[in-house]
Amino acid sequence: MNNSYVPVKAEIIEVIQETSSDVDIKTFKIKLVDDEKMDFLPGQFVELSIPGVGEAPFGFASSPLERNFFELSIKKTGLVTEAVHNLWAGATVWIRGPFGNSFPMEEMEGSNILLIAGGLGLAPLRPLILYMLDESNRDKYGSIQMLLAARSSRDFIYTRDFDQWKEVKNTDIILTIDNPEEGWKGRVGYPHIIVSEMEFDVNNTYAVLCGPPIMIKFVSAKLVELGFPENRIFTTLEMRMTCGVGKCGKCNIGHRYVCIDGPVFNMAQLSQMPDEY
Amino acid sequence: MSFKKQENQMIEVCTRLLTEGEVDVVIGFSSDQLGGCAIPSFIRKPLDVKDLKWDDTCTPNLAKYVIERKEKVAIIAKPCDARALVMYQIENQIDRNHVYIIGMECPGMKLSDGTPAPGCQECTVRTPPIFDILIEADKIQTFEVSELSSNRENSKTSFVESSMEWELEDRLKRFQDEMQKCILCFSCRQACYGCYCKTCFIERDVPNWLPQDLDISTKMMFHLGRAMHLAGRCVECGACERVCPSGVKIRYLIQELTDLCHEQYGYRAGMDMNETPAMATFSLGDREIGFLGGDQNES
Amino acid sequence: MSLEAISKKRIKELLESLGEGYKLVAPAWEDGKLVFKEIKNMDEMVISHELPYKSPKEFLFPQLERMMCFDTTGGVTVEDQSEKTIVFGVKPCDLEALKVLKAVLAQGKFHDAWFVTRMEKTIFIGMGCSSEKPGCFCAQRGINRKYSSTCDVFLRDMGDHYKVEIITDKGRSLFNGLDLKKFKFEEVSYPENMAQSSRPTDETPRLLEIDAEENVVFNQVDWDRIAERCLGCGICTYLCPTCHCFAFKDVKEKDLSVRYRVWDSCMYPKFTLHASGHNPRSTKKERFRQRVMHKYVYIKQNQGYTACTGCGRCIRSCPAGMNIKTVVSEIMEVLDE
Repeated sequence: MNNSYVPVKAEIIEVIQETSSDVDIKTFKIKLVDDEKMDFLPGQFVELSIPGVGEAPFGFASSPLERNFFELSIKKTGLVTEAVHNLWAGATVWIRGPFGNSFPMEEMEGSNILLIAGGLGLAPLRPLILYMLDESNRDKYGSIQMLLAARSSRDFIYTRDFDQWKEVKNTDIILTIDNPEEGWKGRVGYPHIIVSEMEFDVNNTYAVLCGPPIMIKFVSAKLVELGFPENRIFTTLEMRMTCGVGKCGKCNIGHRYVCIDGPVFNMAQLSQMPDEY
Repeated sequence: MSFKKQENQMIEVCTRLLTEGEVDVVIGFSSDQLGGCAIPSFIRKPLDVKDLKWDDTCTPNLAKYVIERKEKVAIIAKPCDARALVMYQIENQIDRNHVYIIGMECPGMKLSDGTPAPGCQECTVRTPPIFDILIEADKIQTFEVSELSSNRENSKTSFVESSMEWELEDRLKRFQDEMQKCILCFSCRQACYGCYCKTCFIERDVPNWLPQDLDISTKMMFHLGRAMHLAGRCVECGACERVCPSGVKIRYLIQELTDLCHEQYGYRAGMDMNETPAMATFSLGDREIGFLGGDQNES
Repeated sequence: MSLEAISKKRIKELLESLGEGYKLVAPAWEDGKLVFKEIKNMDEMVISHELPYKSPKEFLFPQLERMMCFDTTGGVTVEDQSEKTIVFGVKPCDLEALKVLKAVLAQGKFHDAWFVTRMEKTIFIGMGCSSEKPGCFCAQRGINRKYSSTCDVFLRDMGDHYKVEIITDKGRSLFNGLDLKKFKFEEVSYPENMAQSSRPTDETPRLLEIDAEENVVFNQVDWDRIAERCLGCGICTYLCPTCHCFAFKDVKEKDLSVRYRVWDSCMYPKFTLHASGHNPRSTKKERFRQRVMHKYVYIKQNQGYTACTGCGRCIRSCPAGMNIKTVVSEIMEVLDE
């Protein structure tokens, strides 16, 4: 029987330090052993195990078009994440997945895209960005605007990508931080404030947002206020979970389980769900 | 019929407190629909005060419902509840101005099967050490001798004999036998007045004190850890043993620390608001007797 | 279906001969508490109307289960500690609860392999229940306490004998090759409508069911007041026959890293605590609401069953007198208005 709790072996092939602030985020490039391929969709997640320490869920952070390896961006917060942070290239980790649903890439075709990310919230959006910006897909979408927020300039992740992303036609990035900093050329202010100053066609745009729960609540409310239909605002939620497959009973919001019914939800669904996330 | 008389007086007091708006809520006891022991009850309207009851089944310790409450409360306090409130005040968990204590003289409470509740049979405190109003009993009738003696053989209630009288090998075995029954549901901790930490030591990940497995050493770690944290703080209400679904008799551990504390430092928790808890003070003359029973000062 | 009758006096003999190759689990006294436990000596077994204080779910879903081992050479070994087991003397409330466990753990896109394996190896022999204990409310949950077909074999109480009803092939396999005559099975003829006569005869009270949209229950009920008495221990979830939430726990054992599955409880603050410190269910109000709504609203919506069988264990064992029956009745009253 296919046993969904048993992980497969994988190897870390590269570790990238993302932030230089006190929020310690690293990106781990991982490949499955025996060159097994990892097929996943933007928005999905895996469970990563460090035997003897534990297991935790992480969203994919790399391009779904690359099947030979995948990346996970991990912030040091608890037991498992601390153990992962102590690992270097060559170390063995255990992976099970992919789990969960994905962003509606096909549904969004033909529309403009507004991406709003706060801090590490950019990680689960990166597969979507890399997918849409890929040459083979770029023409399927209209303009792509990104509003990327972080607490400070040192808290941005994937800064190495930004220049490349900007070069893609009809693509724009706005960076914003919480408090003014000397020499900062981007914007200052919370994303729900900045977004109201941006220009977009609410009738032909999909918004995809990810960040801390409080940011999701504020930004989505602002987007609705600006005229976005609720079913064109997507977000991806985070919950404590054990199994990832709808059994352990931890990640439910109302009758929906974030692990199998999510983690991607649109605001129309979210506003139907009990306010408990 | 001392209970009935006390109950009438209690209802009168509570009605007045709620009617005059002196408190927002009365925490007391009301009947259990299953016919078991009285259950905690929260009364906010003068009309509902009639639901309050006072009889020999008012076993729950209500003190824990007082902390982290923003409303002004009145609490029906048996001596053990009141001792817990003394400790809460000493440990800065309550604002005394927001708590009106209705002290009840108490002859000891019973379980639903009529036997004395754990803690009650050996309890010697019949009058609450702290109160805003005291509701006296006519005559404090403690348990009948027959109730007590039949109870000693009854495995359902506590034994308070000292484990120090057991053979050394026996002590570990008896401890382990009790631990075997524990299912780590943490009801003892949740019912204990003294366990109000925001994060219990065993729930900490770093360091991971208690791997969540059911190994017996895990259970021992939890119960020993809890006993240590209650050393000199236990108010002997017996809640830990009373609420255990598995019948784990573990109160003797804490009881021994309590007795030791009394013997060595003359301190009993919750008896006197102005006395510094034994474990919160130090003097050169203190004897350093520990778990092992060795007396360091004499060596 | 074979309809055999066995004298009540011979039930232990029958079990002894059925039990070959199987571990026999049945109610027995342990330190003043009736529990389901492995029976090594038939005299320990207790056939009574008492409900064991813990549910038999632990034989399908143990409180602690060794799942897999990671060794130093980089291998992972899946562990299976299941044994062929007969669980005897299970009452309908506990049998009906199996439906919920099966629906969650063994159905849908993913299966819980450990549960499925145990399920396959376990034979449940059910028995009727003839008396309600304080706190029992199976009738109000629409459960017939005299009969349930959610088992492999059911022994129907016929006074001086049991009628043996074999329900599944697995149940039948138990009796294969058994010389029934040796056990003096009597051939008894029963009226045709036997199987239908199983509805409870007592007057049927209003069913305890919540038929409202989840947001209505979530928002319109005064959960603060309902949960006020709750002390936040996990007794109710541990003793409940349908509660099935769990966590994984890694333990280092010499050179091995062993992954265990342990019961978890929605009543604990850490259950939903994010690594960031954010907790969507941060007070007992949210946690108690989750427990009631999971049983009466969410599982019903997802799996089609209300995950409460009215066994009353949570009510009888609650240190604070919380009563899910009154809570649900109160909710129904609020919704009626």
